[in-house]
Amino acid sequence: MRLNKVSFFDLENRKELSMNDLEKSIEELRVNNDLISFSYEQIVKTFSQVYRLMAKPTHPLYSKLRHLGLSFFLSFIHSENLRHMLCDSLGKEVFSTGRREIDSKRLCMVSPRGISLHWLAGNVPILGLISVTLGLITKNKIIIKLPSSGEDYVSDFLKTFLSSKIDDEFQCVGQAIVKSCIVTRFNHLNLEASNVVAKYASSRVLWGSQDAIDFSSKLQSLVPSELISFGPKLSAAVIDEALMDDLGYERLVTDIVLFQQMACTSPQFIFVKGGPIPKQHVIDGVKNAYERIKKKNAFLLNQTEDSSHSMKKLEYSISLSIKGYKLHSKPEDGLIVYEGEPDINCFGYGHHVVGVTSFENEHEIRSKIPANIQGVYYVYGDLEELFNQLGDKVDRIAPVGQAHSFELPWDGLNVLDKLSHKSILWRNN
Amino acid sequence: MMNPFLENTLPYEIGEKDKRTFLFDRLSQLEAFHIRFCDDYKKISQNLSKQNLEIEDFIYIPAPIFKQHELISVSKDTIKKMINSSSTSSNTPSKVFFDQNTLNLQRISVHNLLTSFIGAERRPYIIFDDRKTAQGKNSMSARGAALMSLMGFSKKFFFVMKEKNGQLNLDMDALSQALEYAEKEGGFISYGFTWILHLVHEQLLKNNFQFNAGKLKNVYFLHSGGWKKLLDKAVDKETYNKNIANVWNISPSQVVDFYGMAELVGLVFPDCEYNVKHVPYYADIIVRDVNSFEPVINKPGYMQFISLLGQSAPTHSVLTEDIGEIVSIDSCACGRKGKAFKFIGRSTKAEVRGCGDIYASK
Repeated sequence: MRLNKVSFFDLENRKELSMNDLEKSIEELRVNNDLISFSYEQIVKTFSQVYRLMAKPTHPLYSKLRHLGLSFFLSFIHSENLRHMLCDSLGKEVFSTGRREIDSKRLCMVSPRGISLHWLAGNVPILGLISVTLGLITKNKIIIKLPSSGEDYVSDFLKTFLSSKIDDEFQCVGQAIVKSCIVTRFNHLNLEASNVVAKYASSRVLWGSQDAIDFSSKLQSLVPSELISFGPKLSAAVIDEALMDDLGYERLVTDIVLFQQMACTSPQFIFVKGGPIPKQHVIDGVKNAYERIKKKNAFLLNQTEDSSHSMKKLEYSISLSIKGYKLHSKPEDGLIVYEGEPDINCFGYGHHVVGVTSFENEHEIRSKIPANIQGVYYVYGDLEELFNQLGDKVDRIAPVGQAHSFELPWDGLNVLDKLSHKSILWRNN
Repeated sequence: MMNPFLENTLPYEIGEKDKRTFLFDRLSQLEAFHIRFCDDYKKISQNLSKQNLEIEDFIYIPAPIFKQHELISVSKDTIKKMINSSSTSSNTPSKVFFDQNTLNLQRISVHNLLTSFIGAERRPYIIFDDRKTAQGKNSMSARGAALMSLMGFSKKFFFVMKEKNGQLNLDMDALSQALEYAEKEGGFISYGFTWILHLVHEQLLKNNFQFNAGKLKNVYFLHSGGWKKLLDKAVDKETYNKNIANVWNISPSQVVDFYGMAELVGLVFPDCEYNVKHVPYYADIIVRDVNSFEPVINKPGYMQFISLLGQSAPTHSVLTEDIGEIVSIDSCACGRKGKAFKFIGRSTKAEVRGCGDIYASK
C-alpha cells in the first residue's frame, strides 16, 4: 500500500518504517516504564534545562519558532509554571510524593494513564510542543502523530533532551523521556497506521480541524481511552463601544494579528455592545488601530511574505461578499473587516480577517457566539453578567490585550488531571 | 448575448490602442450582464467595484473562487457542460459552467487561435492519453477539455495510451496504427499533457524508438500543463522540445507549449516562434504585483485574464495564481499584435493545479 510508510524518531535519527516496525515500536513502548521511576520534580528540572537550551539562538528551533510563539512556549515549560500546573491539577502533596494521604487507612495514588496519543495539527507548531509537554510531565508514554505535511518541530524538541552538555541527572531523565516517545508521520487517510497508533492509547490529545478530531476520536482502542480535544477552537472579543479608546483598539487589534491570527486564542470576530448595527466609528477604530500598529510595530503583523498571502485575502473578500457580508475594507488593506453574524467558514486564519457584529444585551451574545470558543477578550463593564452568559461556553475570559499574554501560561490548557490516573490504595491493617 | 468576434478579423491583428477601446466597451456590457444575472457576482460587485475608467479597474475573481462557489450567469437549465480542473492539494476542482452559446464561442476561439500557429488543415490526430480522459457528456476534466479542443483539426483521432491501475502506459500497437495512417495522410498533429508527453518520450528514447516525421508536412506536438515536475528534474523547455524533436526527426519549433485553464474559457496561449505567448483582440492580460495587485509591465506578477468569451459565468476577468510577465506590446517579431507575455510558473505556496496534476504528483 502506498500510504503505509511512517517515519519515526529514535535516539539516533529518523527512519522510514514499515507498519510492522511501527507495531513493534509500540509493543516496546508498552513495556517501557523508564519515566515512571522519576519524580515530578526531576522531570520539571529536566524541562527547566531544556528551557535554557531552547532560549539560545544556537538551538535549531530558536530561529524557526522565534516568531511563532517560542517565548510563550518557553514560559510554558519554565519550571515555575510546570510546578504550578502540576500542583494545581494533582495537588502539592502528589507533586512532591506521587501520592496523597486521604486518611490513616487510605492513600490516593497518582500514576500516568499509560500510552497517550497526541494527534497534532500543523497550524500552530508550539501547540504540538505543548501537547507533548503535557503528556511527558505526567510521565505518560506518548505517541505523537505529526501533521502529514510540514516541518517536524517535535523531533528537534525531543533531541534537546539528549544534550550531553548538562549533568548526569538530566541525561538519565532526558533519555527516559526520549525513549518514552514515538514520533510518527503518515498520511491522515492511512487508516491502518491510524488504528495502530490508537490501539493501546489510554488517552488521546487531539488537535486540528473538526474532521481531524472526528476521525481520530473514532479510532478503535483496545483500552478505555480518555479523549481530550483541543480543536478546532477560536476566540472572540466582546467590547462596549462606550469604553473603547485608541489604546483599547490597539490592544484588540494586537490580539487579532499576533501569530498571524492562527492561534485558537486569536479573536476572529468582535461583538460590539450597542446594536443593532455596529457603528462606523467602531469599524474605523479597528482599522485605524491596525494602521497605527503597522507604522509603530510592524513586526507584530509578521505576515508571511509569500505571494499567496495577498491572493488568499482577495479570496476571503470575494467569499465573504458572496455570502452576503458587507466589507469595510479592500482586499489590499492589511486587515479585512466585515460586518455580519459570525460564520464558522469565514475565519481568516493567517490572513487577518475579522468580523464585527452587534448585540444589545448579554443574552444576545450567548445565542450568537459559536460553539468551540476558546477565549473571550473584553473591554466591558458588567463582567459578572458576561461570565454568567458565557462562562459555560468558553475556556477563558480575559481583558483585551491578554489574548496571548498569559499570566498563567497554562490558562485553558491544563488537562494534567485527565492525563493522570488516580486510584485508592488501602494500607495494611 | 454579445458576439465577441469581429468579422474578417484575425485574432492577433488589432493593435493595443484600438483593442483597448474595443475591449473596454464590451467588457462594460459583459460586466453589467453578469451583475444582472449572477447574484453572487452582484454581491461581489457591491463590495469591491470601483469606477471603471480603464480595463485594469474591473473586478477580478481569483481562480480558486471557482472551486468554492458555483458562479453561473445563465439559467441552470441551459447549462450543457461543466469543466473541472482538479487540484492535488485541496482535491476540490474548479467548476466552470458552459451553455451552448459559450461552448460555441469556446470552440470558435480555440480553433482560430490554434490555426494561427498550426494551420487550419485537418490531419490525423494522435493523442497521448487514455480515451477515458475525454469521456463525459455533461462534465469533463480540463485535461480532457484540452485534448478535445484540438478535435477541430482532426481528420481521424487515435488514443495511444491506456490507463491501468492508475498508471498510464503507452500502447505501442495503437501508436503504430496511428503512425501508419499518418504516413498515408502525409502529416499529423499530436497532443499530450506536458508531463505525460515527457514520460512517454523518456520511454521511447529508452527503447530507441525513432520515426521520421520530418518527411511529413504539418507535424506538430502540442502540449499543455504544469512544468514544476520537469523543472525539478532540470528539464527546461529547450531540452524538452529537443528530446521530442529528436525522437520524431522534426524541428524543436514544431513542439508547441500552450497555456490554458478551465476558467479561461476558450483562451489558449501557444508559444510563438519567439517563445512568447500572445493575447487575441477579444481578451487581455494584466499582470499584477503579487502584494499590491497594482498592474505591472516587464515585471513578474499574477496573471489576470480578461475575456469576452466568459458569458455563461463571470469568467470575464479572472486572476490566476500563476506568475507571468508582459514582455512586449505590439512589437513581437512574429508579427502578432497586442501584449506578449511569458509564463513563469506557479506562485509560491499556490496549489498545484491544472489538468494533469494527478500525474504531476506521481
